Amino acid sequence: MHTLVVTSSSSTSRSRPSPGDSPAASDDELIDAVLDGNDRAFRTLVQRYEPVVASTVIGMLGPGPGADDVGQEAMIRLYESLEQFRGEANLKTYVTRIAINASIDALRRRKRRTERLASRDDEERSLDEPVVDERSNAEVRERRTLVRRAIRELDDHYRLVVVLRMLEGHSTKETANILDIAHGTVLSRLHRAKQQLGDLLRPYLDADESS
Amino acid sequence: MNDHRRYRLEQALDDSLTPDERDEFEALLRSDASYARQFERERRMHRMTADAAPRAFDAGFADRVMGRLREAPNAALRVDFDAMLMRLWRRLAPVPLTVAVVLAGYNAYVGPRHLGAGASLVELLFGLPPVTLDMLLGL
Repeated sequence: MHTLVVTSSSSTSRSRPSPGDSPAASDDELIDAVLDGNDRAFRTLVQRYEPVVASTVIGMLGPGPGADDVGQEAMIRLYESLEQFRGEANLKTYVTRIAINASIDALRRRKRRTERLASRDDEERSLDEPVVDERSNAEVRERRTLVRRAIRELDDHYRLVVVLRMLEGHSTKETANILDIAHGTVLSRLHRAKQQLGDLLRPYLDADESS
Repeated sequence: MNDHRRYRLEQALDDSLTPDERDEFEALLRSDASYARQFERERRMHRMTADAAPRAFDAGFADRVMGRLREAPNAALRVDFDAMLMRLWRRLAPVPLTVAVVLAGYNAYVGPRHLGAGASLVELLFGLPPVTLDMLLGL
């Protein structure tokens, strides 16, 4: 197994990035550098794929410290499995798959521990502290909050498809590939999920339509 | 809406229509107003959800990941190991459980021939008859 020599963030920021770990490096270059024990290369990968993991994990679990933990776990699983990554999929798909699996594991744990009340607390608290940029006006924030809440209302298998297809922007075929299910299953789940979302988001969709 | 139209609509939202399919789809939109409205509605829904996608964890996420790696570089392995043990338990446990149930049934049916009067319930149910080398050779 490759060994990561993790240096402190201060020493990282002082030293100049090498070609193998600069933000401009390709995924393959970064992976090679990580396998050579370069911690800054892995940090660059984490920063590059944080949006992917965040939208997947927060989309599945809702915001809060639990989602942050699962996001970290997903990144650690990525680190542990980089040696097995053979480039058969692109790294974004690979990372998404890891994030989805980590989220599903977390959902199972959550169900086992019947943490529904605690997660609702997280959710309500987080509604007042949106992660997105602060320039957004109140209406946009309210809309985003409503959309996220609507997504969390969906059953797990519908939410999985919605997160990958509609939040992450994967195609329906990529979604089927990531979830390892038939393309037709993705289409039918997506259809049903959209019907439910359409009901939950009707005020906004109707307002847009009339404008 | 039939399956073919549904599929075309998803393809259009995927932006994966071939030029011929796009022509066919646009003709469909022109000829069926309710289909066109449905397409527009779903496109708005896609935009709305994509816009609501959380794009970051709280500040310092990369630092927290690197910190966890520094403190417990094999944490993920432990998680995997726990998961592997759980999977093994689920797969293998039915075998000894079935054997135990069959043995208990057998003992209950045959009775405690090889046990004395002071045997406990556990011995009565799960006690194995004494097997000697001669008996095995006799088989």
